[in-house]
Amino acid sequence: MWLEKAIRNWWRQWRTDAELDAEVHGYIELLAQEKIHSGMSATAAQREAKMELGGVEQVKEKVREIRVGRFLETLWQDIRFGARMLRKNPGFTIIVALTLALGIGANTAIFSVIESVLLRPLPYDHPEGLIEVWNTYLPSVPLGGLSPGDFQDWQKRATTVSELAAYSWVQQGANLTGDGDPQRVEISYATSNLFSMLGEKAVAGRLFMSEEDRRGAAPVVVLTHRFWQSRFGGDPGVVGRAVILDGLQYTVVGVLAEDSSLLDSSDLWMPLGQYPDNLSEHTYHQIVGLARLRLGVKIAQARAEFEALNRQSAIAYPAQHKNFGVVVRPMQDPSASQIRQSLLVLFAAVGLVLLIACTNIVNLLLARNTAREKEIALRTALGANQGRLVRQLLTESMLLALLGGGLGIGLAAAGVKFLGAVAPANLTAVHEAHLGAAVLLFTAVLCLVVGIVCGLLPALQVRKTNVNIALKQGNRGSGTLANRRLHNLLVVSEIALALVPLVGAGLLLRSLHHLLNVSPGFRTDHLLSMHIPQAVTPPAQLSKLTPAQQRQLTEKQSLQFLQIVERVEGLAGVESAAGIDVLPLASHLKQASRFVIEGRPIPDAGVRPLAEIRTVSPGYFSTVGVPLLSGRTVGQTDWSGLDIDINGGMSRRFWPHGDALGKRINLCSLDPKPCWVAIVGIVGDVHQFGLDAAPTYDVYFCGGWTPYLMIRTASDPHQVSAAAAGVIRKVDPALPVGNVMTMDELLSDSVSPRRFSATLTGIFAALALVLAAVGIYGVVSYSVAQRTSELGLRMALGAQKGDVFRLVVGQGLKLTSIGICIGLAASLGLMRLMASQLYGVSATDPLTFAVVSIALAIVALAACYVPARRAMRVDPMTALRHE
Amino acid sequence: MTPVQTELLQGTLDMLIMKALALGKMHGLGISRRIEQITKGTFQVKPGSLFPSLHRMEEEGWLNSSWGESENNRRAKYYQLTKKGRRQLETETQRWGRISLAIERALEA
Repeated sequence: MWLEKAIRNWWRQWRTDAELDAEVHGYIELLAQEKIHSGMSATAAQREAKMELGGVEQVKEKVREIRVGRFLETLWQDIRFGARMLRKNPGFTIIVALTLALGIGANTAIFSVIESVLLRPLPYDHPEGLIEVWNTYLPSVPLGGLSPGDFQDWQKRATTVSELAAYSWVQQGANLTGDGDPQRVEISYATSNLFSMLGEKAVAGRLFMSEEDRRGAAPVVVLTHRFWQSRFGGDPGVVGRAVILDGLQYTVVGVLAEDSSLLDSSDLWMPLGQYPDNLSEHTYHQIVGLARLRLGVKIAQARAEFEALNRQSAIAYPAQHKNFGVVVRPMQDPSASQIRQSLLVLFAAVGLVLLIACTNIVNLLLARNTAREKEIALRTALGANQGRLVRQLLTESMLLALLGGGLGIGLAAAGVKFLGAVAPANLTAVHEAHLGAAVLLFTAVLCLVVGIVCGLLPALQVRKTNVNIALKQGNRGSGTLANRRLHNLLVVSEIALALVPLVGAGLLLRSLHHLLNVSPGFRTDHLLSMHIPQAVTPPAQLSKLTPAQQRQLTEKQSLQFLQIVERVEGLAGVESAAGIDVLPLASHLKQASRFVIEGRPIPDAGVRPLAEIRTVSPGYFSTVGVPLLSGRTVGQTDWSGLDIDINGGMSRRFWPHGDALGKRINLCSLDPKPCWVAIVGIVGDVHQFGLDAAPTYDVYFCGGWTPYLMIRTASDPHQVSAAAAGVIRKVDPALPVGNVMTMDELLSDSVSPRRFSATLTGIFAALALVLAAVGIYGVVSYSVAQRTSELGLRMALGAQKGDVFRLVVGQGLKLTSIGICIGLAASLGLMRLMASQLYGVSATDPLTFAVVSIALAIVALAACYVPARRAMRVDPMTALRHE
Repeated sequence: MTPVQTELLQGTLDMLIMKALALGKMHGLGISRRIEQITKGTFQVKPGSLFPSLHRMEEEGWLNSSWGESENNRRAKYYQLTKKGRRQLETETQRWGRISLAIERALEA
């Protein structure tokens, strides 16, 4: 019914202009009629009448001005009246404003992070026209690179894109030597059209030219902005200078003006055409394709074309390209997808907090309007328009919402700073979040919605006021029963809403707890690691060596490494040292190979088991604390590469009877020549990719240069790092020393994102709980106050204090149980959406659900306690006298 | 007497309109003719002033409007005084009386 009236009003406004038009023209008609009566001709009369009027549009315009002026005037009146009302009840105003500030502020803070991650457009020219082109090898590889040969073919043939560019999927490391300390740098390769396609500019020098994009051209590099600042101090004179990478000279031709998350993951860029490998082959899928759609071409057309090109490649190169699919999608920020899920969970939690806050405020407004019933009834009796009253109450709640929003922005600004201070360093999104225009717009819209949502229901309730009863009985609530049901409904929904983030936080915190209890497989305490990579021999040179020469090279490198180990072990405070080529716990890159077991039937290539391959130096396992389960650890005698250690998981899976020792496996391809290696020992399992990653089968070789030096110290590891670095520099001054950290720090870093989001969700859940408790307290107190005379009557009729107490608490308990049941049902459904965030605990874990429900029930009952005691203290005589 | 174009204050125009409607409902042209009549031709209200005032007084709640048939069987918008409007007319008339008395006295002094 009120909806009809609102629509009718709006409809009336729209029709008013037509009416006005009719009215003015009617006036002209009547005037003309008068003139005709006094003798004028019809046409002359019409003309005269129109002239006298002075112009239909002008008259209409004047009326319109008056109307708008009236509206603004009444709006201003409403605002001033509302402000005065709010000032008269400062306690009420402050509570509401603070509650809203909390809810709106939290939402704004989280939204600012979301905005910086998920909503900002990519920092390239016309990013909407950019697409990514990937190969897939389902089911194991949902997104993989393209092979260089395919890339070149497709670049020639594709017509739906104006440019097809590529960059290397994996970065190459190299040692930068020359002026300054030797440093390990990461290098990416890009086609010469990549930077121009993205719209990147050079801040010094120039970017790649197409002539440089092929084998044999002069070796050049482009520096990323970040690297230019950190290594060369932003000196533009670096352009034209040479840098030495792994012993070879390269000329710096330019510096990128700005880094985007795609471009700043490495330090230097080189032209893809100079990549030291065969660029016409079709086997190794090592480059990522990016393209720009032609004007007017839709992504679906490009997708169809690339699928056709992919099929052509499969036909032309059946051995290499069979079973490869292709994926074309709009270009995405690579860092965004990782945290998208946890951000959305946080946003949901904080949204629920706001909903609960709004429910509290609706309760408060309803109660306050009931208290003002007499005043409202009086004004209605004196002729106030009901619509005006509703509008005026809505204006009050809008003012409250704006006040809360203003405070909320302040809270959000502080909150974002706080988040930036405590967030783990790798969550760049959090550190980049700030309250920009988009965020402020979001807050404004949120305030508007909150104001309407909170104010509408109470304002409309006012219309049901029966003037007679209200004037006679005063502020007792003429719709008491309906009002009470409304309050109860709101409390039940509050409790249900509070349960959901509590369950979510509970599950996340339990996941974190389980994770922290997982042993990484080695001792992380008192263990320092340093990255000391040697310059890499170019693969072209390596392939020219005979097997005997390769063995000699390996031996030479192993001895060089042992020399460093000896020197380091001689330092005070060092117990032992050893090396490995890939750090456990933190690596994101698989260094794995499929293998077959000697003497067993050979499965198809696609389904052979995968083993992670690591190379260690002698004494590695004892240094890092990986237990030896049987056999012996690989050592100096195994530098020939014929013997390996495997981990317990692999042994249990493939030799369940424990007879793995002595067996052989082949890690190379079966033809032309397999390379069988023998198992001489079984060591403990280690988490290679993180505490929550799937377990792996590990194979350990010994020998060669192992770039990660692990040092077991007697006391604080950091105290040893300077001395160790000094020793290393004395042995080989060209060796860069980097990435110095303890394994405890590495472990902590690997769980910190999870810890951060679990903690935040916990904070929001606690906030929701507090708000819900306040809400319950408010409603039960209010109900007790309303029912004072009823309670007094009961007591006069013989009810004991204990009965009254039980009555009030019983009511609270009933509401709480209904709310919890609804909340549990909702959580059962919703937690499933979060399943990917959980570890070691199911999305419907009964223990968490039960504990959270009980906790919420206890809090709710505690909130009822004070009002219940107040009810007990009602003096029947006084209560009845006020009747 | 030749009609004199005199600027009318808004409040005065309101009063004249309400006075014109005191006898019953009228459409816009009728109201301006009546005002001319009762002021013996002194005030000729232009539609540019009449319509804004009519609509404003309707918003204030002093007038009610309705559509009806005019003398020449055309549709016209008719206005009438509300109870609130009648009270306002009374108040304004008294106020005017006091002001004009004071001015008269001032001029005689």
